[in-house]
Order: sequence, then C-alpha cells, then structure tokens
Amino acid sequence: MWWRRWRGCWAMMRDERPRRARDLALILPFIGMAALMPPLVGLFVGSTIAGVPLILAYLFGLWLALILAALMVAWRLKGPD
Amino acid sequence: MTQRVLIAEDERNIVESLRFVLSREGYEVSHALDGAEALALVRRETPDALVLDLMLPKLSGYDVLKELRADEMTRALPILMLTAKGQSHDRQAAEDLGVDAFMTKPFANSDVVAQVARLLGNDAG
Amino acid sequence: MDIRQLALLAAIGFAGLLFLIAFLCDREGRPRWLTSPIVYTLSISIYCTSWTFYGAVGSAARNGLEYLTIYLGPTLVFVGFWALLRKILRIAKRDSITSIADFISSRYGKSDSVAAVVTVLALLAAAPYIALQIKAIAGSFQVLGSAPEDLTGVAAASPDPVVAFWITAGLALFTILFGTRTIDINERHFGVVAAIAVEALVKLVALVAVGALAIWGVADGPADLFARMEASAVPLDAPFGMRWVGLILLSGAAIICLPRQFQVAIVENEREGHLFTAAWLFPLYLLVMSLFVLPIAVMGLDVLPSGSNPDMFVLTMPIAAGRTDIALLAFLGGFSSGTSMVIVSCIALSTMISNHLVMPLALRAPGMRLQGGGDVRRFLLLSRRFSICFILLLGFVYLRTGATGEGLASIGLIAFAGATQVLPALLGALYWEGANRRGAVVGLAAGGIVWAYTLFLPNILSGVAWWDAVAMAGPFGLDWLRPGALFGLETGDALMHALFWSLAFNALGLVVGSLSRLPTPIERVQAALFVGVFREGADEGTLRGGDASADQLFDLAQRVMGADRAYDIFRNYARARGQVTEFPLVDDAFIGHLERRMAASVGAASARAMILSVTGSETISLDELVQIADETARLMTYTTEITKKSDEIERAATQLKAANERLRSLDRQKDEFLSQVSHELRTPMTSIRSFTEILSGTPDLAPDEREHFIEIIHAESIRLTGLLDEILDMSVVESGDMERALEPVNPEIALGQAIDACLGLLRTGDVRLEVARVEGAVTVEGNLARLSQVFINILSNAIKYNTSPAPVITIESRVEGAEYVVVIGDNGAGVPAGEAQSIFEKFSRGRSAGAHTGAGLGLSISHAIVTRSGGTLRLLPSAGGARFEVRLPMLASEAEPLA
Repeated sequence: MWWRRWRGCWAMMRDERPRRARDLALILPFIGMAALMPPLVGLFVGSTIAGVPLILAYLFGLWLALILAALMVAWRLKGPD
Repeated sequence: MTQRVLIAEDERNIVESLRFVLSREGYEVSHALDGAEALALVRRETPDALVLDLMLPKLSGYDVLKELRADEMTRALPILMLTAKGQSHDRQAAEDLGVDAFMTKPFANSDVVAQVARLLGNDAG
Repeated sequence: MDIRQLALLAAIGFAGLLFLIAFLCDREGRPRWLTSPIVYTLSISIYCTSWTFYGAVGSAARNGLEYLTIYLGPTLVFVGFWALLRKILRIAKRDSITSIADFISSRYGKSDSVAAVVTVLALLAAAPYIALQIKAIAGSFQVLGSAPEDLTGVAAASPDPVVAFWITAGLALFTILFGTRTIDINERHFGVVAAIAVEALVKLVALVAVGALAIWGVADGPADLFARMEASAVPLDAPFGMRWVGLILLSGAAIICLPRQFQVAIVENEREGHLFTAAWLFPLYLLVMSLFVLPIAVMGLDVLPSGSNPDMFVLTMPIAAGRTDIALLAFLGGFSSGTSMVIVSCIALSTMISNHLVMPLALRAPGMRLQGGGDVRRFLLLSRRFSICFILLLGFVYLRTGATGEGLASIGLIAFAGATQVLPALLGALYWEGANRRGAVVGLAAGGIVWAYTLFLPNILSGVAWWDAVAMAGPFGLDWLRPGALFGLETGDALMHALFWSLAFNALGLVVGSLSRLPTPIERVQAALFVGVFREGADEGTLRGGDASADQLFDLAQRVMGADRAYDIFRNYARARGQVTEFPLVDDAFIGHLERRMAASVGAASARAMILSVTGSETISLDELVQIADETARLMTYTTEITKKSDEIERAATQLKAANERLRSLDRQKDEFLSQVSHELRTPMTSIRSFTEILSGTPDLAPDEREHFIEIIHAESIRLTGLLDEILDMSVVESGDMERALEPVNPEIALGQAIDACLGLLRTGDVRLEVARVEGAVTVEGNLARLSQVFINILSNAIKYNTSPAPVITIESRVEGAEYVVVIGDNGAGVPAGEAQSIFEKFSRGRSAGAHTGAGLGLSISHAIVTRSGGTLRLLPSAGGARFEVRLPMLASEAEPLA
C-alpha cells in the first residue's frame, strides 16, 4: 500500500526530529554571531526600508528570528526529555 | 489512573520513608503493620503491588506470601519482598514461593522505586 | 506634596510591598506560581539594571546602536542554552552548587584557593557595578525634585554624597532584611526570587510606558519618529567593528559569569525544564526593553534642552512632557532595577565571601572554636550581614573616588570585564578535561591583575598625581608597561585594550598552568564528572571494550557492593540467560547491567569511571581509584561541614559517623556474633539511609518535613548506638572485664530505679502494676547500675511482650533466708515450653516475640550480671505469663534491717 510506506517515511522523519532540533540548538548561537559580524552587519547601514532604517529592521528582525528558532528548539526538545 | 501500592512493614519509620518516596513517584500508598492486616488489606483494597517485609508480627512475610499465591484472586499480585536478613537461603525460599523481586535492607530509595516501577511495568516509559 | 516626597513615599511603599511578597512566599512554603518558568525568566531579568533602565538610553544617545550589544550577547547565550547553560545547570544541580566560586572551585578539586581568587575578583568587579546603581538611584531622586527648566545641569556629575549615603544605607538594610533572614541548605531564596520577578515586571512596564510616551506622546507616531531619527544626532551608522564584536562577546560572557546571574539562573533554578522557556522568553524580554530605548533617546535629544544628561532621559522626558504620573512610574522602574541588582548581587557575593573567605579562615584559626551547628549558623548569618555592608560600602567608596563622571554604561562595562575573567576557568571546567587547579589559579590571577591594572585602577586613580605619572610614562619609566598601552598596543579604546590583554593572559595562564603538572586523581575525577556530565547513558549502544575478564569485573564489583551482592548479580545474570557457568559471558550488555547496579551504590558517573578503568578504555589505575575513594570520602565530610550548615543535619551526621565508626571496628572481627546481629542493625540503618537519601535528594522539602525526617534519623541513630552499646556490654560482661568493681549495695534501690525507669513505658501501654516490696534495707554484693540494668530489662520485657488485653505486671521482692529474691511476672502469653531452655542464650528473643525492638541480648546480659554477683536468674515454671526470678546472696553481717 502506498500510504503505508508514506506513513513509515513520515514516522522516520518524526523520529529524527529531536536529533535535528539538537543540531539546530547547537549551531543557533553561531548562526546568530555570524549574522552580527562586522562585514555582514555593515551591509545594512545607510539605507531605509519603508521609512525604517534598514539596519534597525535587520537587527531586530534577526533578533526575533533567533527567539522564534529558540522557541521551536525548546518546544521540540522538551517533549522527549 | 493512579496505581496503588501497599506496604506491609512493622517498622513505622521505614513505612514512612517508603511512603514518602513512593508517593513522590505518584503512587497511592497504604500500609499494614502486621501480616494479618496486610492480608486483609490486600483482599479489601486490591492494590496494584505489594511491598512485603519478611519479618512481620502475627503472620510472617512468608506466610502472607504463601496465602496470596494460593489464592486465585491474588496469585498475580506483583510482590517486592524486603528483608533485613539477606542470606541467600532466604532469597531462595522467597523466590521459590513466587516473589517477583527481592531486596535487602538497607536499600537505596532509587532501587525500591525502580523495582516497584518494574513490577508495575512503568519502567519502559 | 511635591513630587520628591511622593517619590520617596512611593519607593518606601514599594519596598514594603516587595518585602511582604518575599515574606509571604517564604512562609507559605513556595506557592505554585512561584515555580513557574515565567517567574524564573523574570528573575533572570535582573540583568537589566539601572544601567539598562537609564544608561541604555544614554548610551544610545551617545553611541547609537552600540547599546544593543549588551543585550545581543545574552540573547546568543540563551538561544544557545542547549550547549552551555544546560550543562552548567545539570552539574550545579547534581553537586548542589551554591555560587559561581563554588562551581569553579569544585571542578578544580574543591580548592579553597580557587574559590578565594574567584571571590576576590567578583568582589572587586562588583564595586563599580554597585556604585552605578547608587549613582542612578541618587541621580533619579535629584532629577525628580528639579523644575523642568533646571533639568540640564542636574545629576550630570557626581550625585549628592548625603543622598547617596542614605541610599546606600537603605539598600544595606533592605538587603539584610531580604537576604539573610534564614540560611537555606541550598542557598536558595524563594521570597527574593518572587520579589525580583515583580520588580522585573515593574521595570518593563515603566520603560515601555516611557517609550510609548516618546513615540505617541512626544513624537507623532512611528512614522514621525523615524523621520526625526534620520535628522537626529543619534548615530545609527556607528562603526560595526572590533568593539561591536568585543562587546557582544563580553556581555555574552557576563550573563554567565556575573555572580548574581549565576545565582538566579543556576542556583535558584527550580527545574531544568524552566531553562527551555527562558531560552526564548528572556531574549524576548531583552528585545522589548531594547526596542523602546531608541525612541526615548531620539526624542530626548530632539525635545530636551541641549546639555541634558541623556542618562536621565527616561525621567526627564516625562517631566518635560508634563506627565508626572509616568515620571513617577519611571522612577519606580529605575528603583526596581537598581534594588533588585543590589539585593541579588549582595546575596550572591556575601554567600561567596562567607563560604569561601570567612569560613575557611575561621576553620583554620587556632583561637576559633565553633561548637555545634547552632554556632556555625549564627556565625554564618553574622558574617553574611557584615559582608553585605562591606560590599555596599565598597560600592559607595568607589562612587566617591572612581571616575564616575563617565556615563553609566562605561562604568558597567568595567564590571563586566572584571567578571569575565572567570570565563576561561569556567569554559576550561566544562570542556577541557586537562584543565587543573594550578592552571585555574594562574589564569584567574593573571587575568585579574591585568584587568585591575589596565582598567580598574585607571578608573579609580585617575587624577591622583603618582598614578597619572605611571599612566603617562609607565611604571619606573618603562614605557611598554603603560596601563593604557600594554606592550605598546595603542588601541584608543581602553576597554577593548584591557579585555584583550586580560583574557589573553588569563587563557595563557590556564593552559600553561594546567599543562605544567599532571592533574591529581580528585581533579581528574571532577574533570570527568564536569566535562562528561551528559555522558552517562547517552552512549548506551557504544562498545565498551571486551578486554575485561569476568574475574576483573567481579573484583571491582565486590569492592563496591560487597562479595555476596556482587556474586548474586553475576550468578543471577548468568542464570537468567541460561548460561551454565558461574560467571556470565562478558559482553556490552552485561557491562552495562553491572554499571547500572554499581551506579546505585556509588553514583552513575563514578560507576562509569570505575568500569572504564577495568575495561581499559580509560587509564586510571586501581591505586588511584582507592585514592579517589578516600578523597571522595574526605570531600563529602568537608562538604557536610561547610555547606550543610543546618545544625540538625550536622548532629545527625556526627551520630551517624560515630555509629558507623563503631560498626566498622566491629565489622573487622567478622565473627558469628556479628552475622546474627546484622539483622538487628539493618533495621535502623534502613531508616537512616532512606531518610538521608530523601534529605539529600529532595531539595524542595518543606522545613517541617525536613525537621521531622532529621528527628527520625536522630532517633534511629540513637537506637543503633544503643544496639551497639548492648553488644559491647555483652562482650564486656562476658569477659568479666566490668569497669566497676563489686561492692556492697542495696538492691532495693536498683529495683526502685528500674520501676521508675519503666513508668514511661507503662503509661503508654495502660498496664497495671502490682508491687510488693521488702521492708527495710538489704545488702548484697554487686553493682548498682548493673543490677538496675537487670531489673529494667526484665520489666521492659514484661511490658513490651505482654499481649494480654488487660496487662498486669507483678513485682515482688522478699528475703528468703540468706537470699534476696525478686520475682517479676506478667499475665501475657508466657514463654513457650520449647524455648524456656534457650531464652538466656544470645539472640534468642523468642519467635513469639515477633518483631519488637532490641537485639534480644538483654536477658543474656542480665544473666551474666546476676551470675557474676553470685546469684541466679531463672524462668519460673508458671501456668500463664512469664515469671522471672532473681536470687542474690545477701552479705551475712548486714542481713538484718538497719536501725
């Protein structure tokens, strides 16, 4: 049955989820740090987007993204523990 | 549903410590201070597991065990036997009478918890 | 009433409210909401001090987006909680860590010196930080009293010393009341956590209110704000260079290394799961705070007269806008941020000072004798209170001498840089097994000295003539040692310069120091326990190496668990798998099984280390293992002495230790006698062990529960000791080696004493006593104490084993010829015929006696005593109940009653 195989596949993905969440948890701060490093962060200085300084939008947007990622990671990892 | 554990032990302090430790694990705990009371309580309250001391007044742990195993109703009741004697022939005798687990005093609380969990099939998850 | 009086009243009222919250929470034994992860997250928000509340706006006005670094660093650490914070937390909870100094020192072999260095460093770094809070609170108070048109000049420089002094004194009182009412075994303060959570909410609400006022009250909505931002002096294009990166790293380090952050995030943590919430909620808190800082800075620069102190925009803008209510709320927000920081800092630091500076000195001082736990407790409380005053005094002195004319943010950064000196030792503790005590001390000291020389001292001493000379030309004219440009490194940024050199020397010291000698066994074990905290069970499936033989494993297991138990484990395992050999086949499954069984006795990590030593995957020799065991025992004693100050526990522990000691000396004899007594000993030992485990494994026990359990341990220890006394008595009497010689005594006195002693027992059992005593005095040869021991034993047996519904005890004493006779009888079940012969033998308590207490040595001892006095003790034949007869020969010359 095709659906049975599909369900097996999905179950495997689900079993892998904690591991992937762990990996994400480990690299999250490094992603954040890299995104805040000088050459990259400097690119956003000067211009505006819809009246908002781009650098502000970038920093706070990145910040919010990190928070959401941490929320997701925490949610995923809390389950099996 | 909360699982219920009956402690049959004549030392009140040991009863209290076991009650504390097992209650924290979420079991509903009751106790009997002698063998006769233990037997009566098992029949009345039908607990899910019994922690049974070997040296009990009125009716010894062996006698309680024998009675329970002879009775159709209680034949399958999981029993953890505690003893302060700990000699191997005691253990052998208890095992021959069909005890499910056997522990020597003094025990580690965690061991009791683990054994009770195992008897009640809670250890897997 | 003017606004300043109003503010003073509000501050006092608010402080009272906080105190009430703390008091209620401590008393109620932790209400439910207190254990929520939200309260935990809010308590971590003490990171946002006055520096954030007032200083961030000032920083934004001066340096643009640089203020964000202070919040981005912690954000990175918290979203990356899985790797670092969770590891620290797991270790700290396992080892009942009480402070960051405790954490680091326990990793480096429970070293006093490491703890002391960390404490001194933390204390120095705290001074500027606390000065900052005093300055901010004093400044805010002065600003409130000024008319809007005078706002420019006020509080730009040092605050009024009188105001600052009273604020310092108030903070000291407040902190002492808050933090040192009791001493908790785990150094946890539920009430304080509740209060600072409330303060965290107040400061958030206040800053958001001022921010909203800036956006919608002063500016004309966001669009207008951004338009003004373009035109304003706030530099949005501040260079994102080394300083940007350095500050992010620095603040990231500070969120772990600051003693107060360690206190709230690690020590006060309730459950590891709370970290999973704080991981995103705390960064969110920081984001919201930061988001509203910028509008205040922009609008402050825009509308307030030029020359106004931007550090006070949060207050001056609402005043200028005529919103006294928001100004008052802002004042309370600033007050909250300042007080919560000071309280928690002082609690954390005073714990460190008393545990790691005062106590070790007190324990070593020859003239100092602390008797018992009560003394220790009082001494600790007193030393903590003095420490708090000392810390605040240090802050006040710093305020008066340091170059505090600088902005709030730059003072805070000096403190950050100081606290960060702990980072290399901390990371080494967590990730490098090779790091050892020497490395930690050398690194910490080197980093601390460089920090003090390049950053701390210049800040305090600038303006002092001799220092300025040193700063200009270097000490002794050595130009390359100039504090502002060490080794000729001119950066133009004192903070980055100091940070670079201090951390460089610190890390170098750690590495070189650690590599310069081999770790001691205890360091090695602690290293494995810290670095590999998640290792247990994590790699269940991996190969453990099949090098070990069953014999080797058995040898190890029997050392840990005793031969019998080890043998049982081996044989049962083999039998369960249908193997016919005595010892099972050694495979990974068996090794795993054995490791888990051993873990129950010695803890998982130690069990693993031991197993590894046998399977060959690790290289710890057996000799070292023995050494480790010794040191661990010593450590445990030390820990009991120092950290478990509760006097009850100390008392119970001493008794337990004494009982253990005697038990051990008896154990060596290993005779038949002991194997029989073992059953009797195991019963009290069971209670003691079980409750000790409960006490040490359940940090959240209610105080009365804890006390109750300690009482049980106490009672059982006494019972155990009594048992041992009985056994010793036995051997003493039997070998005829009684301490006291025989002398003429009146046995009636002994009998009277015995009856008195048993009255207590009588009352409980509702027993009727019938006494017929001999008239006048009689004299026998014997020993009064021993004789009354005989009577007490017989009497208590008669009472305890009397199963009759209406128990009656008869005591009859008379003179029969030249003999003094006592008959004690009861109406109980009596002694079964078969046992009458053996009742005076050791340990024959009689099966019918059931499980009553006492080893059954009593009659045997009594028999020996009476026999020694030339008398007889026997069981009289009787129809119902037991009747014992004691017969003692009287001394001939004094057979007649004395006139």
